[in-house]
Amino acid sequence: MATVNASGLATAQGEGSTNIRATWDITYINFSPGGCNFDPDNCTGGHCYHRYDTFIAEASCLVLVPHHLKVVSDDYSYTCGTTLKRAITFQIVSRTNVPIGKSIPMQELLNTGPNTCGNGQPVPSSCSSTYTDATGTFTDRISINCNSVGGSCGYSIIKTYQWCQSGRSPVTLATYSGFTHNDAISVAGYVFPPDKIPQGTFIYP
Amino acid sequence: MIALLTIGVLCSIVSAQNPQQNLPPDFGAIRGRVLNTEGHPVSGVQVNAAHAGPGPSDSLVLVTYTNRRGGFFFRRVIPAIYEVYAIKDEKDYRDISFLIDESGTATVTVYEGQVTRGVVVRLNMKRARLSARVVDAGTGQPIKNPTLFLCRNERFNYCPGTGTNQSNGQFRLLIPPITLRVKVTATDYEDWYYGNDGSKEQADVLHLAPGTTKELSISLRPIK
Repeated sequence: MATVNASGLATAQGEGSTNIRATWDITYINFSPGGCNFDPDNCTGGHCYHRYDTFIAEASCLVLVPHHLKVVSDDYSYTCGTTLKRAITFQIVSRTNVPIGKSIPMQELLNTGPNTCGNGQPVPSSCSSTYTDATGTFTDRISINCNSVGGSCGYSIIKTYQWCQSGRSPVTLATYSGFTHNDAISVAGYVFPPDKIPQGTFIYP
Repeated sequence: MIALLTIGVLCSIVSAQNPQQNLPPDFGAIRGRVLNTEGHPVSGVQVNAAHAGPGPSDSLVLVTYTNRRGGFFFRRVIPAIYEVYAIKDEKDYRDISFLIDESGTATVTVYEGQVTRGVVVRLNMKRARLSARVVDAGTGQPIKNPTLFLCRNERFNYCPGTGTNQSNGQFRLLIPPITLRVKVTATDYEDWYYGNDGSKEQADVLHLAPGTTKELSISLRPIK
């Protein structure tokens, strides 16, 4: 639904596309000089008259609401010698899989099991910082990081990504379960090594 | 007059030592610049700050952009250790230089209520383009979900790796102009190594000059 106020500001709510068309009448008051006697610089009279016209302006309006995530890339490297680091980049898309194309505030909810590496629990990202770039893309960095246990130590996790809306409850964009271990990281059922999340995979709430 | 000067000097010292002003509670901040390899500021590039400890990381990477003077500022940062790096993609080509060559990455400690200043991140703008298409050696059809590893040393065990970034199953990557070893893996296929015949025994190094493009056509053999 789209509305236009008296100042001409268009407001569209809800996902979808629409055409906004505005029409308005214009009244011109023109002056017609008279008594000029073939000399336009020396007219002696004249009269006013009205002229009427109608203007039309049109614009298409596309409203995209963040709905779920699309995997852009899945990268790996190592820290502390052999501890795996995984960086997954997601793009926020609409219900119809169209990238929303703008930065929005995000947060994470983490539900983790005990960390057998003994180096603490992860701290979730909060709404107050900026994580998405100008195209609505963000990266999640996952690693147990340096620890003194090694091997396959780590924790299980259920992770939720949310869109923080000002003055409203956060909206969940995706949820997955997995694990973060020293030598392997599972995200949405893809355990690396060896399996990455294929580019283009969608992850839903 | 001397008294006024003294007060002025004291105020400027307090200002320098009291950087927590205007910072939200429980947060710190990072301020720095992105410089190219010649030491000149780089404007309009994306700067990321990724949590690197202490403790595990399961968090989103902070994002900001450099201004006209190459400066950047992360305002709301949870106190921890961060790896700060810059990336600059080109059309269709994804910049993974930071993944392979960490020499430009700055490791920064953020404290509550303080601005960590003077952080310098290096961005090598003289990168090379690597394009690769991975197909089944028998059918010639693209292989789903291969992984490309780029190693800086002789070992293939702990190398940075990435997946395809093109919808048609291709890799298009910006990489640093350094000596690398390249390996490609895929489920149910034999590993492929850059070199004469794709075998590990014949593996060779790849060193691309800045600004050049290398296109690889990689055929993987199914595991029998």
